[in-house]
Amino acid sequence: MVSDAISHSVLPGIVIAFLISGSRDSLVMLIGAGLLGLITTFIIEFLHQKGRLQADASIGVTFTWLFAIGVILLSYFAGDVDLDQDCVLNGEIALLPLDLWYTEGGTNMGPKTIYVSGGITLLVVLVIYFNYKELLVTTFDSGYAASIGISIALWHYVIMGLVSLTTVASFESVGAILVVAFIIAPPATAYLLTEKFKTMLLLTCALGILISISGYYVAVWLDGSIAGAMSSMSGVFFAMAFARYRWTKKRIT
Amino acid sequence: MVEKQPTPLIEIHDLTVAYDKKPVLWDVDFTLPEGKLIGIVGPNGAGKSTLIKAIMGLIPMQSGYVKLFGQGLDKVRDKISYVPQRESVDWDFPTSVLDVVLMGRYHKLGLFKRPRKADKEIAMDSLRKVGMEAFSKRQISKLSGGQQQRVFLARALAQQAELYFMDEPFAGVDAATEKAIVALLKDMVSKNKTVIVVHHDLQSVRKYFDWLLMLNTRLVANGPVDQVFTNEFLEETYGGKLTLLSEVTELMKKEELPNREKK
Repeated sequence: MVSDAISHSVLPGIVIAFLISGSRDSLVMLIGAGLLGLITTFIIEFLHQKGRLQADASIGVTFTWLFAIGVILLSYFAGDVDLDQDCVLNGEIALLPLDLWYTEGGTNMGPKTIYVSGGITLLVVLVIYFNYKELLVTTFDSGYAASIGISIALWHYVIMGLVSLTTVASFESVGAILVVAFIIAPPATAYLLTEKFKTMLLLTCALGILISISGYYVAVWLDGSIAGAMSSMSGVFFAMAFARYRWTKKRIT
Repeated sequence: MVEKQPTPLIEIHDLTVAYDKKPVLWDVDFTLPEGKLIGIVGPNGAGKSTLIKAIMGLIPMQSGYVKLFGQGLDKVRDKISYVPQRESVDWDFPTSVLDVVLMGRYHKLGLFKRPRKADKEIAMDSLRKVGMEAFSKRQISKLSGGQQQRVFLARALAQQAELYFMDEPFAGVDAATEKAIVALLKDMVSKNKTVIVVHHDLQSVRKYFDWLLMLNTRLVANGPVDQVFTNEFLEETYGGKLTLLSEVTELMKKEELPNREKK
């Protein structure tokens, strides 16, 4: 749910970054939003630990007021700019191929999103590859991790930092709904299909790709919204995995 | 009664820990010797687990200091193993027995290093010692309570430490596992390791431990079991349940008490 919160609470970061830089350059937006994402996780942790709020309550409080601040800033300062809530909230995946990156010389390098998302994907993969054991031990048994001198707080913020970067980058291109659908549905589906952690990671990626491709063709077939079709496909895959899980479980017991 | 040791393995001075301004440990001061199987007993809420967590630096202390091997914790972390309460982790987590035991090797590996073949051999060897080698590929969600505890113990063994802190290793395990664990702990102590166990079951204290720490927010007693496991100290530790307790100790002397039902 933290990713859901982040996808909303980064809005003031995007607006502030825009107000300071005056440009809609994706990199500047990404930095502003990424910072706000980290601040969000800090506030959530702070309220949870020091304020003794329940985890879901502190998430709810944090993202609603940050998002509200974002909306106010947006309507007050940037009302006349092409940076409206609709485009921030429901980025349109169909328009991505039009947002191209031209080099100084004018060469067409293809859609910008590929570079931004690709770079972040690479970063995430590298961190998971090299720090698999730290992430595993702090997630599974934080008390033990601390006892052998691995900082729980550090790795928590590393993983939350990556979540907020991923969220922000995808958010800009495909919109909040699709981000949340893709952050939650594939791993939840994979969790029902396997009990091995590494298999789960790979299966999650495979499912993500499968959902995107099938969703795209469903949208073409129905001539409907791509984001909507993809979210629906993630629901379909989850339902199939759930049915399989129930069925195999019944057979065993 | 507080017995001083010439060369203490553990030295705790003036330790006070509070949750929300309510003290859980108050001015606790003691030293513990090397090469003993040491029990920590006391009523619920006496601060037994808190004491271990404070020693391991997992919770902040309001006052006092802890010295292990005569040094601060960070310098001697490699020689210390901590076994948390079994209930403190989510056993539905999608991982295998061997992966959990391999965590016992993490502190020896650098930041970006992965466990090697030698680490896997040590992990398998540790699993063998707890009688779980056949389960190495099993998912942890498919283990019984006793097997979960054995996995935690194997992870601690894989650390190859000198000093072990175990938080209620006998809680909710079957009789066979309890017996196997006790035999293993006694074997470790015979190799001059020191094992400190938070314990609940008073009737087995005499059978299991060489040394006993009795705690109820304050330190009540600390010394060899024969000297401190007395009615007087038990009453002081458990306070209100005094009459019930003296009956229990009477029964214990006669060894007539039936085995306590496990969770």
